[in-house]
Amino acid sequence: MSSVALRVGRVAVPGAGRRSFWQRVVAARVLLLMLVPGLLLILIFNYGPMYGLLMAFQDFQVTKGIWGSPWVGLKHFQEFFSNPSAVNALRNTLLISFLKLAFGFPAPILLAILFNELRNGIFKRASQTISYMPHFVSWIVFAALITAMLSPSTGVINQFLKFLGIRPIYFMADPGWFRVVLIASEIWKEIGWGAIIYLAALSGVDPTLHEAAVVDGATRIQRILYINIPSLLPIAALMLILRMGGILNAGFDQVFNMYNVQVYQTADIIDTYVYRTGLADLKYSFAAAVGFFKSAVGLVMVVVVNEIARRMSDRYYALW
Amino acid sequence: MFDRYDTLTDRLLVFFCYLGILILVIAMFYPFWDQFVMSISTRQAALVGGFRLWTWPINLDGYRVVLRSKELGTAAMNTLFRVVVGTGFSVVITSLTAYPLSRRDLPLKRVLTGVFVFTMFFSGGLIPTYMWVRGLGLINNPLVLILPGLAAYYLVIVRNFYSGMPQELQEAAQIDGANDFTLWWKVVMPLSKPILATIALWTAVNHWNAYLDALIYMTDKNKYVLQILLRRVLLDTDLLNMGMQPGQEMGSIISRPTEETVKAALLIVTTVPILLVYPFAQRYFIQGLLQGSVKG
Amino acid sequence: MNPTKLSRRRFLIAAGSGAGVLLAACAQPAPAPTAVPAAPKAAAPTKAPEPTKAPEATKAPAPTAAPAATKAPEPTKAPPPAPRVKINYGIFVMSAQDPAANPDSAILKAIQDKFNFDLNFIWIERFQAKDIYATRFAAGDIPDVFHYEQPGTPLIEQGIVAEVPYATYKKNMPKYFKNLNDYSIMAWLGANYKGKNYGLPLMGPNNLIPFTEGWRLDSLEKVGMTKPPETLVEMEDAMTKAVAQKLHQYGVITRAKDAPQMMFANVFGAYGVFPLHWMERADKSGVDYGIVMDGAKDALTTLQTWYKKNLIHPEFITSGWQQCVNTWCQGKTMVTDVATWYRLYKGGELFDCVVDAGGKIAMAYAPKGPKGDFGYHGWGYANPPVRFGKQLATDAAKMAKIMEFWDFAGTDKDFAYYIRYGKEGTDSERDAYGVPQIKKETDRAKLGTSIGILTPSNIEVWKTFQRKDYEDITKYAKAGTTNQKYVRDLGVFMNPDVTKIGPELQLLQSKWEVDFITGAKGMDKWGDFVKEYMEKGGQAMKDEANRAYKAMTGDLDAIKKAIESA
Repeated sequence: MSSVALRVGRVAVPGAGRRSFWQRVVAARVLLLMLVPGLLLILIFNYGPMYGLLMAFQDFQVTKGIWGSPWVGLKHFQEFFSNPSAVNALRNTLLISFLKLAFGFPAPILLAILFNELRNGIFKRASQTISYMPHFVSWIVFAALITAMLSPSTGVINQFLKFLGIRPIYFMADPGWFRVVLIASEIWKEIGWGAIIYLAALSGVDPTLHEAAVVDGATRIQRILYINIPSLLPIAALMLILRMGGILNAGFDQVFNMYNVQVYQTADIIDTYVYRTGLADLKYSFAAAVGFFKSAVGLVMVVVVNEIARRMSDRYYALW
Repeated sequence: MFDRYDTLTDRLLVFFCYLGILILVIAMFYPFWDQFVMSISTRQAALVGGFRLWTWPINLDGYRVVLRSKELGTAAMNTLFRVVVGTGFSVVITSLTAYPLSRRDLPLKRVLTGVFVFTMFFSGGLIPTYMWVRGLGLINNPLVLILPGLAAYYLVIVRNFYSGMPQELQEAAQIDGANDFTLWWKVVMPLSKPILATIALWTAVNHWNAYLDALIYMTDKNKYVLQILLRRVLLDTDLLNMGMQPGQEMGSIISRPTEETVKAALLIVTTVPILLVYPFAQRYFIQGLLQGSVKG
Repeated sequence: MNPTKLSRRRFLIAAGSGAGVLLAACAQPAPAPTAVPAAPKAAAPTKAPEPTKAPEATKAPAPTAAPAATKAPEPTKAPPPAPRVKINYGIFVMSAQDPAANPDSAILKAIQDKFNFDLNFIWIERFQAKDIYATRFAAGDIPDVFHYEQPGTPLIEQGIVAEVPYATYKKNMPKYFKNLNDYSIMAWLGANYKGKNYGLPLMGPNNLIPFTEGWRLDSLEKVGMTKPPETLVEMEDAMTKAVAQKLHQYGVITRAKDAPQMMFANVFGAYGVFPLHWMERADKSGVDYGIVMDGAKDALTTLQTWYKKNLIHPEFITSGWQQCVNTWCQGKTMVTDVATWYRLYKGGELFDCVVDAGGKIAMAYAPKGPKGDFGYHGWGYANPPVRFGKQLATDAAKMAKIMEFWDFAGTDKDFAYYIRYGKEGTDSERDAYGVPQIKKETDRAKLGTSIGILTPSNIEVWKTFQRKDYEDITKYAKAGTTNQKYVRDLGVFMNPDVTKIGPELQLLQSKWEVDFITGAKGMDKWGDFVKEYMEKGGQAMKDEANRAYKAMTGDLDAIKKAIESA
């Protein structure tokens, strides 16, 4: 089956004509039943606890519980934003997230396309496996590795620069370069793992399409452009929309393990800021407020990007 | 490497693909190899630092420290349980839920999709979830690690995959008299191997790496998962030195920070099992087209 | 098919309200937060809290069961023992080496038998303790007693912990109480909030005197010195020579990445200030914050010179503890920065790596500045206190029981040894320095040694676990003039609403410090720094600190009085 299937019209049903809602329900009763287990799980584990969102608008006291704690409305949000460091953290979060998106989103797609051009065999399988190894290295270790690599005295990168006659750069302590390091190191770490989904999509492409294209005289590049990439577009669009939901998560583990005094100005993100200042320690409502804010912004972003996708692709690539 | 019909530009492209991937592989493998060599180094050799291709003499103390915990066996079993059962459960329930949502003839489709997708953004948070789970009496029950296995994120991906499947499948099955459930189980599931393999891989890795839910929900230490033990070794006294209460020692404990060799051994122990699992999932990616499906 | 009259809209409304009702019914608040079943309360009136009762007596059935025992003709049915007090004890799994004790461990059994109560240890992973506790507290699961490392103010404000009058301590654990007060009244400060006590302090003598200078003696000899330098000038000279002779790459490195507030504390100390403490004025008229004093300016000027002369490793900015240790062990630096003395002796990682590679280490006092000042700061008199869950405020029986246990364990040398190390000879033995070491073959979980680690102990007991030469090896850490001049624990008396600006100010301070040291900002900008610091909250902190300082004598006196009148 091909992922570039076109939309087919409604399946014809005997006794055509407008059916009432209930008729449709009965016709689709098996489908609806199939949804019941999932709905139950979601109701129990996701919607059940959702009353916790209310904590963001209260002054939650352990002794009073959620229903007994006083309501304070938007106080925590106001408190958060009245702090210039918090606003700075927000700015950094957005900037870092968008930069990571701009460079980090296309990277796995490109890698998947490259992988696809390799002939099946040991090299392809081995290199695929190796490519996602960094994904499993925790940031605690990975950050130390990067710091060592970028060391102005002993790091490989600076040795290389010295070889080229360039003076060593203290990347990790430079506010400007640090952002580059954040983005580049995340790409290095995640590109292999991120490519898996695209590889799966490419594996679903009908080989007869390629065969037909070759017969028609298409070069590899043309085949990539006209077959592979269009096959990837739906999943890529979906991944992009979904990724927008986490726009305010710029990577706590990474930043926390890599940042230092000199780069706080550009590297401090919301999560590291809250952690470092202990603003959320046992302040359940404040922590809930920050979480709520991040979720709300994520939701808005997804809705916006989804709308754009709808308009641009005539509803095809949209989430709903 | 090249196909017979490749043009010159094609060959150049393929060549650069191989070259690029080779460089990538070296770059990806380097940190890993570095840590592996570190994990079998003696303490002195480890301190020297820098990149080494190999080390001599080989010292397995790092692994001994990581693996010496007597609780390791139980924890490994617990992790295995959640990886196998949890992944199986997640894959099945995700597919089961995604298929109806992909069908155009599902009534209230937008509402139902919204119900699921909404949970991707808003959640009550760790604490209300804990209180809820506690109210349900699921504290200390391993099922609590498995049951919340329906992630909206994966659901949407699988659903979209199913939406792209041709409608002829449905027609063909209905002509044969099959109901939707049989259609799903006998036709759709087998056809969705690549995407399910991906979801399975992601879920398995998540289960393998998870520690926080086990820590919060399990009060019996026999129900701990492997990652908790490993993290204990990794963060052993790193905490002391991260300025929380700068270097404050409790009681009469004067602890040593975890050796680099131990941290490296930890990494290897955590990662190698996954590397062994991936080739099984990879089969489904490379295979490509499945035989016998409906052609357009 | 029967089309029913219900429209789609009505269906949705019905389903929605049904779901809503279902949710509302389920989404009740957590069950009333009683962490422990109330059963043991029945035992309270019958068990008189007498901590001096000999252990054997508690083994016999409690007085209420006595009448049952006189019912002679039932040899097979022993009288049911009176319900024992059960205490939920939140304790840390400290490290991978110290696993949680088994529920049937020998040490636990010994404790339970001796004091006739049930101890239910709730093992919390130390590395995640903050989150685990936060979650459990919110649900109302508060242990009866628990260890907690983070600042206690949120606990107190949320009403999670119980207030404990000093009288209760005096009554239930008189020996430990006396020992604690003899050690220092200041030890109570960590558990103090607005004049009341909210936890039992654990004495921590090491926290007062942690630091020592560590020199590469072999390098010192090569530059013509037989013992470590005593003054800053000598120190700079030694480092310069060593670097010139390429014995080391740099003189010193520090932990700017994970502990910037502790950078170069020895150099600051040489100029009579500590960058993160409140320094008391000579005439006792008030306090000033270390980093904005002239002494700090002088210290930073010196450090800037050192940096220019390549005596400070430029990568100190990205170096945390591990990197600093690695750098030291690789021999790239000549002297340690803020090293703790126990890491500089055999068995400590700073010692072993150098000596194993053929080097020599010498300990030294902190360097003296131009006016003869020197010294290191410490962290305070006590470890984070053990907290009491709020339910214990009304449960005298439990309070008495746990305190009875602690009083004995904290003052009896043999028992304290046993609960930490098992039996001497079979489970553990003392090493060459007299420090008890648990044998490698011993099954710690089965024995239960992790129970004792966190138990309170008085100084006498504590000393029995230290090295024989403890006094000698800590002399470098104890000495100093600057360390007499700062006010410990002043923060305890300060208003939290003012001190919450602390982390931001800390950041500002660290950034400026690093900039001064590296020379990114010239020392002529010192005035700008002080101005910015004071404007952004430094002045507010200073005013509050001075208010607290003046009130502190009064507050301390109040504590003293409360203790005396207990």
